[in-house]
Amino acid sequence: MTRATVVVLILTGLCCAGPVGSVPAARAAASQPAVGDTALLPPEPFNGWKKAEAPRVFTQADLYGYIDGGAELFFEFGFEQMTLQRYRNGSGEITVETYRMTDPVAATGIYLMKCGKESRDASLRERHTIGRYQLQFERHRYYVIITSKSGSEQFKPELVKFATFVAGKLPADVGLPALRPLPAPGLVASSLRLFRGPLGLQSAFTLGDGDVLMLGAKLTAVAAEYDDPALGRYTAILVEYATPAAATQALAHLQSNLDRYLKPIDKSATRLVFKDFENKFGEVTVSGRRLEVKVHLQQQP
Amino acid sequence: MTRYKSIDTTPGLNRRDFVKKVGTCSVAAGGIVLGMPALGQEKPTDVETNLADFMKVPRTRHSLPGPFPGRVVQVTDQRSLVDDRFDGKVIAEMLEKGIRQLTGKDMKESFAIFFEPGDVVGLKVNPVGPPLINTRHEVVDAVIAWLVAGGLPKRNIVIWDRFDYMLADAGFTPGRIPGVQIEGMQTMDENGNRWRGPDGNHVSINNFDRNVFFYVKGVFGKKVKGYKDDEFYLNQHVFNGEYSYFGKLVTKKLTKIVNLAAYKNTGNAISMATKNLGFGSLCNVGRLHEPLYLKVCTEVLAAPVIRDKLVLNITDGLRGQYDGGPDKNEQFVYPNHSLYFATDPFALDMVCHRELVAKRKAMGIAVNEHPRYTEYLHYAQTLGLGIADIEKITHVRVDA
Repeated sequence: MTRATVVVLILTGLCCAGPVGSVPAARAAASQPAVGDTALLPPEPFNGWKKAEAPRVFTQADLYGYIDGGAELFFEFGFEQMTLQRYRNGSGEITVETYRMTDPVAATGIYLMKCGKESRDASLRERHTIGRYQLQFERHRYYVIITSKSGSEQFKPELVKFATFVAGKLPADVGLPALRPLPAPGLVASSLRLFRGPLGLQSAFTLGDGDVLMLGAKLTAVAAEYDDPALGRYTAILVEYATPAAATQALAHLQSNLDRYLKPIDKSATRLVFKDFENKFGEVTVSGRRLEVKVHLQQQP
Repeated sequence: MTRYKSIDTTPGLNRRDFVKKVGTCSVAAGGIVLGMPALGQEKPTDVETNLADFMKVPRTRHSLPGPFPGRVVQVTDQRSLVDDRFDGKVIAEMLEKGIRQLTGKDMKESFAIFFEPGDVVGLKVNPVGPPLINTRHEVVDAVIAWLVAGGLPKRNIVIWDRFDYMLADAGFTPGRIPGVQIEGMQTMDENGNRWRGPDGNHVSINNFDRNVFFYVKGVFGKKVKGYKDDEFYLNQHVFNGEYSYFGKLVTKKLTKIVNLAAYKNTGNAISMATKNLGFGSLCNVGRLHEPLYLKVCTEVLAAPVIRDKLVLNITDGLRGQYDGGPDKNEQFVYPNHSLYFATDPFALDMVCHRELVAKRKAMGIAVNEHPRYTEYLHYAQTLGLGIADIEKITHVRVDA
């Protein structure tokens, strides 16, 4: 089998839609409680569910207070605010969290990081995954989590009802026009990831510190796992820059800031080969505007 | 019947043994790392902190890594979690097995190793991620029962975390756990309009000790991702500057700490014992994530207010989460049926890190095994705070 050919998925400058409905774009003044995305939430009563408390709104760095240690990834993709509303119905409790990202790609990026192997409910059209405790879905520039506190099977249909309501309030999914499908043979299911910075990149591989691929929080790169009879399982990372010169510059930047645990074996203006800390190999190549990284290779390329 | 799988069930090491085991332990009082760095043992970053001040303070008999450096006991019982229901009785039995196996003593004698009757004992829980992956109430209940049986008045037990509302969200309330104190070190008002007191300062400002801090030169909240303005940063972090102040709860009220972490990942790393305290016992930590990362988990635990009070770590691995953490994510939560015990939080985290990596691989998750994700544990070893070299760690497995 030849090396997998991977279509680059590069997303540059996708514009952000404006706030949904009456949602304020910025947090209210300190003297006013923040409203957040409450317009997206089911009013009460909703199929017997009543709001248990006032909504909570986490804007920008406030998110650290909700998921300390987990907020940075949201910021890297582009996070605006999260609105949390808790509902009760007898002994049942359901929490709705709506994460408003800066753009649809950011929402997809977060979703792909969080969804794992998806489990679907046939009645929900949005891309989602559902269990007894949680339903996660993405639509437009929103990533939404609906959680049942008890995890009881009886509340699973309720999760779908909440999701259907919230999804119905969101603009139509624009899709990801710059995201062409990955036709490559050998692509490992559920392995696709997007990233816009160091944290996302780290989930795939550590090439160096900081923005070592010079994404500038504007370019979106894609990573995926591949199974290849000759190469074994490896990880491919692809970035497409605005110009060939930018791609070449990114490779030069990477060569200058290569992680100290990676030992260069061969390098030129368009190629870098290295050995990693597990004695596996990596290859970075530039072709036109495209920079392609392959890591975890069993054999030296 | 209890079955012991390990090859070495000898409880613990004395301090002399510990020094021998660590061998090249090489940190001078000034905090300078000596010798040639080996893989994973370099100081992770060059950011200037006040670690040297911590290291100058003489150690006590309770200082990390405690009486059992490098010893980690894992008690596993399939009955602890069945059909999503936790069995408090079984969990209490697991606690007893774990403590006994860790210390080699009975529960009363074990109590005496760690506590005196006049102690005020803080139980640092992890309330992030309910209902799936926070510290379970059943574990907390079992620890409280042990402490009370040992002679500690219930009122001398404080369940605590950084944020008051997270404790409430996770059900740590007086109604659920009567008689003990429940204390969040700070209030965070998500609606952003009530956190300032009449004097204009954060209402929690006096909960932090201006004399006891983790100083990081040139690292400010203004540089954190998502920073908007001080109004937002201060709401959550109380202060914004080069100082992260420890809570007065830790510096003045508590005389001992029992660390009850959850068992989960944060990216490629773990968010367990050392992170529970490294980011949970002081304020203004949002600024620390990016420049220092896991190094915080080492240097904060080197502070005498933690180093000399943290006597026991129990990681609640009844459930585990191998990806998507530190917040809950059902997709990656699984029954792990285990509690982990250690006086040495770094050895404990190393064992759990390796277990979680194995789980990630088994579940088909791409794993980045870069040494940076455990460097902070090796760094702690060079500081004499614990053991990270896996061949020097005794991992005792006890199955019911």
